[in-house]
Amino acid sequence: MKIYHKKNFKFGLWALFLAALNLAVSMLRGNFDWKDGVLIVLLVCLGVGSLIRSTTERFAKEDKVEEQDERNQLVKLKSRSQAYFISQFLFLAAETALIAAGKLQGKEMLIYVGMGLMAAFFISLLSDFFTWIYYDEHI
Amino acid sequence: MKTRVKEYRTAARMTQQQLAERVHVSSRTVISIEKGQYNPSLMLAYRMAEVFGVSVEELCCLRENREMEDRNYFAL
Repeated sequence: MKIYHKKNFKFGLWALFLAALNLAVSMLRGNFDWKDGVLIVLLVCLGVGSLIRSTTERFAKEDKVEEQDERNQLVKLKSRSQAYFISQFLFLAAETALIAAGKLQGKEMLIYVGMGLMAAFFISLLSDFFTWIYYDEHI
Repeated sequence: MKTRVKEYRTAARMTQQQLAERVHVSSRTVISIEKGQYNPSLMLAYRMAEVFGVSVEELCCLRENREMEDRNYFAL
């Protein structure tokens, strides 16, 4: 058996490992239910599918072309950047709402949660700033 | 950006999938280029131009596109 797409092969093995781990833990705890069953079936399908695709030359080539396709890379970059922008906005809105609600209702806990979110927002701004400096120098 | 990819592809009796395979991209990329939604990289434009035996300038209507860009720039 020849592996044509190592990344997909590793992913397939990882998915099968997770399925086996889930099954073993559920059996040991004795609380195996339908949700575990669905998850295990999904993981096994995903794992086997990835293994088959990674060991079939035609499918592996298709996957590599999709992965390296310049438009797909641009789409990925743009969607991630937009997702980052949206999550930053949501963080800002949530922290403002929590701090305002905490002040109005006199609940310190809400203010602390809001401050925690503010710290996360600040870290994201800092990382945005430093990555911008890095790419401005390297592109 | 306007290109003549569709024109040359149909003249060469090729499908989008066949062209995509020749230039190592997905067929979705060829579709987007033909619709003018995606601008190909220089290397991809060169690969396609080689397939059709024309220059990148001809394939990508570079003169026309530059003139259009200039008009937009001076209209600012």
